[in-house]
Amino acid sequence: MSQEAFNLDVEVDVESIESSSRKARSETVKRLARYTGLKLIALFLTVVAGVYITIIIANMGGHVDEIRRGVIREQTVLALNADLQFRQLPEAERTAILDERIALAEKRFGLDQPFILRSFRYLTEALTLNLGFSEFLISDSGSRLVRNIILERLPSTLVLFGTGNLILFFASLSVGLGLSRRYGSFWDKFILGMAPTSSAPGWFYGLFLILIFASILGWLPFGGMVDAPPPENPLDYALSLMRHMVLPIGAIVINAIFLNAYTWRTFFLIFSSEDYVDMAKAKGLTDKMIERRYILRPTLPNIITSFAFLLINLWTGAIILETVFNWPGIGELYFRSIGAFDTPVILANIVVYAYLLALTVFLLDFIYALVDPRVRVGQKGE
Amino acid sequence: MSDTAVSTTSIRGFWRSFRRSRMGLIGLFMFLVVVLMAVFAPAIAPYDPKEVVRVTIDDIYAAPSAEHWLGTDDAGRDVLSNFIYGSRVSLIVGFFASFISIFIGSFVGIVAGFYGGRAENILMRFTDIMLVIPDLPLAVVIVALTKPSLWNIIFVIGALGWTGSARLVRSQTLAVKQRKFVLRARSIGAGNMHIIRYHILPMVLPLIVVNTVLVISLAILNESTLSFLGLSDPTALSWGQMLNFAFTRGAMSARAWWALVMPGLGIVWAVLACTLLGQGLEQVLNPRLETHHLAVGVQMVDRGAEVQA
Repeated sequence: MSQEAFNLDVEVDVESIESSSRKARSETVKRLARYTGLKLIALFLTVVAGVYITIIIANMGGHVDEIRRGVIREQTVLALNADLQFRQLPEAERTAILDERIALAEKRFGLDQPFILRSFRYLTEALTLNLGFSEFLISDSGSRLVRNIILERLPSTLVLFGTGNLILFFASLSVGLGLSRRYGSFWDKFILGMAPTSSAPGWFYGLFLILIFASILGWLPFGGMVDAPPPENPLDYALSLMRHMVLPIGAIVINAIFLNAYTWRTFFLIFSSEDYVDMAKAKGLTDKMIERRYILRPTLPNIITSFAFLLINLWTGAIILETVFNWPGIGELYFRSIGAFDTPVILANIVVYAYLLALTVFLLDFIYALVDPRVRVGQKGE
Repeated sequence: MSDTAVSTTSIRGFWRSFRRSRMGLIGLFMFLVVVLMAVFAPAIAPYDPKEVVRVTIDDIYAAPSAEHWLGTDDAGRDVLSNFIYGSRVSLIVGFFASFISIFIGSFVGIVAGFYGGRAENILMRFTDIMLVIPDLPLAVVIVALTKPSLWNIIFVIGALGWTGSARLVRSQTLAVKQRKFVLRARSIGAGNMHIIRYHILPMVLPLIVVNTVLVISLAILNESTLSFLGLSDPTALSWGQMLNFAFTRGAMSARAWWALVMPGLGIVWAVLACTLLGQGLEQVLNPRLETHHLAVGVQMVDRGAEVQA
């Protein structure tokens, strides 16, 4: 405790303060940039490693090559033996032609190179999203580019899950807000009791919804995206689409709403007991204003986090939900690619997922740092 | 709140504390129902699902009747018997897969948390990599490649579900490592293995137990998901497999709600049981409760005395 600390006659040099604050700002920017840069690199490396492991697994460490070679051999032999002219050729010539054809086919599938080398090529291609050609699946427009196949189905999934999750988000937010105001009431206990129902997966509720509303009552369609044949009139098309969306979205919402509403309610309760909320009440602000400014704002990081993870689970949960509802989206595509064992499509799916996850995690950190002023980024080693 | 102080130090104290949590009791009850149903399946089930039976068209998706309390499924088999025997498969896969997950996860977590440094870095990076790869698609790929036997499923689910446990155990190990008694043990000259076995493990074990219950529910869910997609052992009729058969073989159009509702209910029951049980256990065993450190003090002072905590 030096004498200067108590010296109130110190002259305040405005210019030096400004320049030092400018320096501080540029320091912060540099710090942020370095922090985010490092994080980005770390995440990217994680994605690289994850995708490579997946490639190795999906090819069973090279064993799938043997399977492919066997299939190629069998198909070539069958195809050539079906040709009468071929069967009349002498033995040596037949063997020569057979070997040549098999070598060509193997080269087409890249089997003439050792697996390890090819795995690195797959890796670079996957990472640059150069997803190549599918082996068996064809997109509805006739293309075999994996990119086209996926892009064609992406809008369907986005429409369904985007709408569903938005509805779920706002519904659980408002219910949670309402519950936080009625702490200890019947509704509070009811939602608490119903919260464990969220442990059952979404497709599960989907099955029951189909059973009740489509099978027994016959009000809503069993599945699919639009009526077949699809209506010409865009309005009818939209109506048909909405009719088909009711049950899947119902499944999505029922699955998560109780748990989400309860989580929000807990968060809101925690934040509404903070001292600044008391201050706001003392100031005489209306309830609505308090909610908006003082309660919703701190929960924003948590809201964003859970929304981000919602999006991630969307990707994996989509597989079964879309299969159950016969919805022509990415999940169903993935399921079919597994059935046909179309490796490029499977890999493409996993790569996109890995990128989405890494991106989400990265953005999450970033947004946290922006939204929550208590988070100091890049200092003291974290 | 006096019981929580002596909670983990004796079975009776543990039970007394656990009894307070209603959710835990309900969960325990539900859990026991499922386990007993699985264990005593041959005694409870009216029909033997392995028995060869001649069926006519009337037997397919027959409605619930006196002979078949829950109706029949797509092959003319009694749904109730299938349901009871199905619990065996679902539970076996759930238990074994979760044990594998917990084992790997705890090992990784303790090693990473305790040794720190480079080992921790490598292990945590590896955990992150496993997190980046989506579980279900990878499980589907692996199972599609290999023979869909029950043990493969168990192994796959187990090998892909350990990341959560690893993180949890590691953070707990880190917290315990900072405690004073670890420091004191070291200063007396305790070796690493000694500290791990006698100091870290007892503090981490409660958390692992709670986590196990939750991982069991996840494993059961994963198994039913894989079976529903048709990737499980077709001879092992788990609940997910029953759902798969019902769904793909026209139970919806036949209005055979019994073939769908029962296995679904079974899955939800088992998952709910584990979740509630886990919540109940957590209330007792959660080391984050402030009074836990008092438990050690109480035992050292006076065995069996109630302390106002």
